[in-house]
Amino acid sequence: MTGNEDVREIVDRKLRDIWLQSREIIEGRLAILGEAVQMLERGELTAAKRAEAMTAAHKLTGSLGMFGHRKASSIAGEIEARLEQDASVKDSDIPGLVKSLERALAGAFEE
Amino acid sequence: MKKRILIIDDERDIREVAAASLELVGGFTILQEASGAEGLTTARRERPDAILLDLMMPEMDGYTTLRRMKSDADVGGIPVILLTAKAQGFGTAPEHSGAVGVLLKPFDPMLLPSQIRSLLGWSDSETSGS
Repeated sequence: MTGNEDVREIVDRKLRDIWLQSREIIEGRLAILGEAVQMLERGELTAAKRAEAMTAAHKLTGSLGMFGHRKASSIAGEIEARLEQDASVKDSDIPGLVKSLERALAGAFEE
Repeated sequence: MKKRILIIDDERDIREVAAASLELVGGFTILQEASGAEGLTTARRERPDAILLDLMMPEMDGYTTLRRMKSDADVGGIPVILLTAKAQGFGTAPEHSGAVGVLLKPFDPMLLPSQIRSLLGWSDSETSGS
């Protein structure tokens, strides 16, 4: 085993630990997106909730990929882009994208 | 002597991954703060060799933090690298902001140290501390 492989194993273990410790943070961000979808579907998405959801999507985009969840990170980026376009026609895509994000992360916290 | 890097990011998970990457892969010594204000204080006290600064933070965002650093005689000379999840739409062109460069989130923890060395012109031998 080379030194690089040793380091990669150590880093992978450390990332796994951080990922598991970050569960509450990640799930909190997903919950904010879920709430925004519910409000959107009722036609009640406020500017404040939109901004909160955009921040949650932005943070998910930045963090998920570092833990190896590249597809989920990319979906979060798409959600952020749609939320950024205030009251855009693209809002109709958001519930489906949030579902895709949840599916992409299903089981991700299992040991 | 290992190079010291100050990470300023309000997101704990990202801070911890960056710290693990820079310590374990890069061999740097890491300082961490969760806000621009705390980062400024730590930068003045510790005088790190470089600063990795998140752009999107509550209260004092990365650009405001950077402006305050660059106008501070004590820490203005410390190189700053911006960190952002936004590939587009920078409020200020990075090259005009006083930063030496921009790194995008998500980053690869195995590659982050070499990206930082490249931006700062640091060689492996002068940063590993060995």
